[in-house]
Amino acid sequence: MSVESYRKQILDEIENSRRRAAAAPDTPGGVDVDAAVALLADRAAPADERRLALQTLKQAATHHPAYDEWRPRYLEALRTAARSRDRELREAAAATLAQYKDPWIQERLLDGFRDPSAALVPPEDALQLLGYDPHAEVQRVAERIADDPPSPEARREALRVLASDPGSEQRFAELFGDRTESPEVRRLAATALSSIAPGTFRRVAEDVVAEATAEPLALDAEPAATAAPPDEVARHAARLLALVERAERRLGGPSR
Amino acid sequence: MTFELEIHGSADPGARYLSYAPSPARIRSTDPTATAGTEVTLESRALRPGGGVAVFYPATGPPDEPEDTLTLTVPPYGQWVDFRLAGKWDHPSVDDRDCEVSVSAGGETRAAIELMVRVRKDAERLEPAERDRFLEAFGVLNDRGLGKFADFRATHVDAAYRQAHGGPQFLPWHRAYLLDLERELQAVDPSVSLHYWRWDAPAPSLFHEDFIGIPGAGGVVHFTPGHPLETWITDGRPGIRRRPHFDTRAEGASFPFRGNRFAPHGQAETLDLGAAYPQFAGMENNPHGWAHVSFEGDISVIDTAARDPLFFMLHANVDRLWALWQWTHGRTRPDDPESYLGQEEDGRRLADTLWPWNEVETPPRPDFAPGGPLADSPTTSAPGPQPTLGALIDLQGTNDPTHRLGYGYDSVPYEHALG
Repeated sequence: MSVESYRKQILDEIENSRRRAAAAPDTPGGVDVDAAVALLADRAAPADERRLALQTLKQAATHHPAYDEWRPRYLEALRTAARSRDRELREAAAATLAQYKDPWIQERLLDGFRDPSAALVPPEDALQLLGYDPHAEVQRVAERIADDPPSPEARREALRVLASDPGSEQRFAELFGDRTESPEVRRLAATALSSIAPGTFRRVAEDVVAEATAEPLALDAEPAATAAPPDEVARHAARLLALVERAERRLGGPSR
Repeated sequence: MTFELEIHGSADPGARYLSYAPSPARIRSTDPTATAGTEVTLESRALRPGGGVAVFYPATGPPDEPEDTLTLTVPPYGQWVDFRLAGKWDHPSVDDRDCEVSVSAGGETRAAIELMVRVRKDAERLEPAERDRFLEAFGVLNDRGLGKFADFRATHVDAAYRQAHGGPQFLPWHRAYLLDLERELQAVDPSVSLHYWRWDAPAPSLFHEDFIGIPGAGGVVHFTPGHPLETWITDGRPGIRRRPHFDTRAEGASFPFRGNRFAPHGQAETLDLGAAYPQFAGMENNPHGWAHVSFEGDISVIDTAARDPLFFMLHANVDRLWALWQWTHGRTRPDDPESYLGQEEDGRRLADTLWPWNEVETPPRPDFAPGGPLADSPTTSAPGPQPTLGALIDLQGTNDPTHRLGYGYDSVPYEHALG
């Protein structure tokens, strides 16, 4: 298509969109932030209207010129909404607060592990949200859940929280090398281990890849020269090995 | 007779990447026995079906229309002759070095080089190999959470809101941010561009476990085993939280609204926001903001959005729409208030340097500045390591060739400034 034809196409599209806009249904217009914050915090308002207020405030938080001014009130309204009886509203508010690393929601989520009757969201969701800011107490909870999980989902999210914890090196090395574990958990363990302890990861990964390919890994070969292992865990390990080796080349030596 | 070609002032293959905007090039004879000038013809062809093709301009001034061939007289040994080279509109490359530029004289080909017409494309239309190179580069840049991507993640946060959002600087700031990331991706693989997500159309190839992933267990994105982003870690946490509010296989972005569905502005509506910058800049609200919150998860909040690679593809579409608006309305002159109208606040005036690349950590700027200077490129010296806002306006060098940023879009042509 020539540039001239393309320009005509663009201008025609603009004209057509004007005609469509004239017939558009009621849509969100300019946000009245004060009204939306008040609605979000209003425990007596219908939950679906409060959820819509939350959505419009999240949107406004991406562009509003005075965001810094109303942010504190927004967070306070979210905290009110996070105590709603409506599950959808409660979870949406909790998730948004967690993404802001709000200390209040972190304490409420941790409370749910101390007293399950006080839990705002299921344990796997709580762990996922606490994972936005995995400080020491969060990691302690994650360790407990990883050792004694109420569900496979909670265990998975606990492991995700521990992924940045150097103290979990042994745990992840064992999980990664354990062929009785699910591929999902083994891949997660491999990823975490490759980041917190690349040297240990390499040792386990070479065994995992070698087992899958049933031949000794050519240590001197370029990663691309090694046949792609058929096992999905081994394939994942091979990819991580390539990243580790690339980093080692850049840094001029093997990892610990 | 033998000849040597340089593009972007270099014979290095690393400089052989074109966009649709004219790039400086030159040719000289390397035959020490030549005693007279030689008439040569430059031409280009794709080296594979659907490959890139280049076009030619004389060294300076009009014509404004590119030519498929260019005839030059090359002096005897050693003296360069300048010309300009660009990707041919609607003929981008699909692979590195799939475009050939050749030099013929006396009816014979005397020299040829391979290069790439490299532009950002609609991610939904990428060939599998293009997609895989893109993903591979992202995975390497992230490097299990230990790579340079961490700086990009650390930059786009609420604490730096006023540097990048809530004002006219939104579009140029994000242009610089994406350019910096793209150049780091190209340091991994120079054939990669930062492709865009068109939120106003279904994207079943993009929202697929082979590409940007699908919602998995617990709202964490699932990829095909062996996928480059399976190793993705940000803030010490593996995985990406993302759940769409719409059917990604069948719809463009939208979310439920009072019994209907509300969709962010599409391309035409966005271009029609207005012909002057203050009007167009309203796109930060709609469609940009609504595109973000068409998902639940990392991408829906500024503080965590950059944890998701899709965020960068969303913003590549934001930038593409701006570039398309600039082309449609001729808004590429930084000193024209209809092209950009700033505000009296640091980081919003044309002459202001942009955070974090200016490495300023004192008020009113944030008290941190991740990443250092903006990455350089073998194809252009613009916008510089510590760019001013004004250096991000004329991305194709339409008015001033020294402003050419070295990238472009499959859907934004180049046209020489008129008058």
